[in-house]
Amino acid sequence: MLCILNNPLEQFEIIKLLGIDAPLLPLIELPLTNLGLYLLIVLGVVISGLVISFIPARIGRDNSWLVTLESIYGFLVNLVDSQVAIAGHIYIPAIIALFSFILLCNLFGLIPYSYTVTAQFALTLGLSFTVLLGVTILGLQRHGVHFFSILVPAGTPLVLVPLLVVIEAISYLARAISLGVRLSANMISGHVLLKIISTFSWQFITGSILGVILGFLPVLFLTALYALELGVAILQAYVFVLLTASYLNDVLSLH
Amino acid sequence: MVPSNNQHTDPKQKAHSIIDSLPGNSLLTKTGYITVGTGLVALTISKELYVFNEETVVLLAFIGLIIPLYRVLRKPFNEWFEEQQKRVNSVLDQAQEDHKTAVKDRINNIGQVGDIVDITKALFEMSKETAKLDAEAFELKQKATVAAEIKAVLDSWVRYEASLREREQKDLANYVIERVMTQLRDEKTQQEILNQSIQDVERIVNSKTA
Amino acid sequence: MAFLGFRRFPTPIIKPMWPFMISGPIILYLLHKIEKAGQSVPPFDTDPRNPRGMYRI
Repeated sequence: MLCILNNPLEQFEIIKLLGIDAPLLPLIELPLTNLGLYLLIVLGVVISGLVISFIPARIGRDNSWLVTLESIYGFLVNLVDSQVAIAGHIYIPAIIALFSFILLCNLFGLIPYSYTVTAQFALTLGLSFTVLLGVTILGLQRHGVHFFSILVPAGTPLVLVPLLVVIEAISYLARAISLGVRLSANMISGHVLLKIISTFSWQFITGSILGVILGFLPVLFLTALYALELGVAILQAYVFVLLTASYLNDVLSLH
Repeated sequence: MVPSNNQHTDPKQKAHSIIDSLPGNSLLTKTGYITVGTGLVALTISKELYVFNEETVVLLAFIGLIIPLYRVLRKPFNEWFEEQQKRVNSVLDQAQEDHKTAVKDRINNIGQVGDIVDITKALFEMSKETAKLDAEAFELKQKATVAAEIKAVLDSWVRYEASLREREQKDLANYVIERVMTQLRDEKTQQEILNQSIQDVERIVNSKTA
Repeated sequence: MAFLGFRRFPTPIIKPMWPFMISGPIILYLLHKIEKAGQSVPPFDTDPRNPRGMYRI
C-alpha cells in the first residue's frame, strides 16, 4: 500500500490562472489568481443576491429570499444596537457588507474543489488592520488628543499610568492581529483537518476490501466534521463583525 | 432519514418512489435521463476529466451534509417564512385599513360643510353690508368732527371779539376819567365847583329856614 | 434619480466610510511592501512558485 500524504496546506496556495505580465508601474500587475477568482465570485454572488431579492415587485409578500435577507439585516441591526447604540447606525451598511463578504467567502471555501479566500492571512490581516486603522483615524478625528484616553482605563492610580499605557497600547495593536488571525486560523485549521481526514479515509477505502465495505464510516465522520465547519464558518463571520462593532463603540464613546 | 420500518415497505412501492423522485414525466424520459447521466459520468471518468481521489470523499461528505440539511431545514424555514409573510401582510393590510379609515373620516368631515357655497355667499353679503355701514358711520363721524371744528373756531372768534370790545370800553372809560381829572385839577373849574357847592348849600339852608 | 424603477435611497457612503477609505490603501501598500520583502529573502526567492523569483514561469 503506497502511502502518499500530500501537504495539507497545499490547498491554500495561490495559483496564477491568467494575467497581464507587464508591470507598468511597480504596483500595477493584473494577474487573476484563484484567490482573485473567488473574490470576484463572492462579489458577484453578493451583488446578484441583493439585486435578485428586489426583482419581484410585490416586496415582502411572497419573496422568501428577501424575507431571509431582511431577517439577516434585522439581526445585524440588533447586533450594532447592542454594541454601539444609535450612534453606530450609520455604520450598518458597512457592517452588513463586511458580514456578507466574510460569510460568503467562508461558505464558498466549504464547497469541495473550491478555494478558501479567508484562509489567507494576507487578506484577513489586511481586512482587520484596515478596520483598526480606520477606527483609529475616526477616533482621532472625533476626539482629537482626548482619543488617547482610550489607553488609560478610568480610575487608575497615577503611579500605574505609564505601565498601563504601554499594556493598553500593546493590547490595542494586538486586537488588529487577533481579529485577522482568529478568522484565518479557524478556516485553515478546519480545512486542514478535513483534508487530512479525507486523505486517510481515501487510503482506507482504496486500501482493502474491508475499506470498501466499511467506507461509509469515515464519510459519516467527515460529514459530522463538515457540519462543524459550517457552524464555524457562520460563527467566525459573526465574531468578526461583532468585534468590529465593539471596536467602533470603543472609539466612538471612549469608555 | 431512513425509516426504521423499511423492511415492511413493499419493494415495488420503494422502486416507484425512487422513479418518482427522478426528473421527467414518463417512464421513457426517466430512463433516458438515467442512461444519459450514467454515460456522461462514465465518459468523464474514462477520459480522466474526473479523477477519484481524496477530494471525492470530501464531495461525498458535502453532499451527505447538504441533502439532509436541506430536508431538515426546509419545513421549519417554510413555516418561519409563512409566519413572516403573515406578519408583513398583516402590517400592510393594517396600514391599508388605517389609510382607508383616515380617508373616510376626512370625507365625513368635508361632507358636514357641504352647503359651503350658500354660507359663503351670505357671509359675503353680510360683509358687504357691514362695509357699507362702516363707511356711513365713518362719514357721519367725519361730519361731526368737522362741525365741532367749525364751532370751536367760531367760539374762539367770538371770544376774541368780546375781549376786544371789553378792551375798547376800558380804554374809553380811562380816557373820560383822565379828562375829568385834568379838568378837576384846573383852578377855574375848582372855583366853579366851589361856587356851585356854596350856592347849593345856601339853597339848602334857605329852604330849611323857610 | 430612479434606477430601473427602484426607489432612490440617499445612503451616506463617504460620511461613515472615509476613515476606512484612507486606511485601506495604506494597508494595501504596506502589505505589498511586506510581500515584496518576503519574496526576495533567500529560501523563497528560488522557489519555483514565486511569481517574482528567479525561476518564474
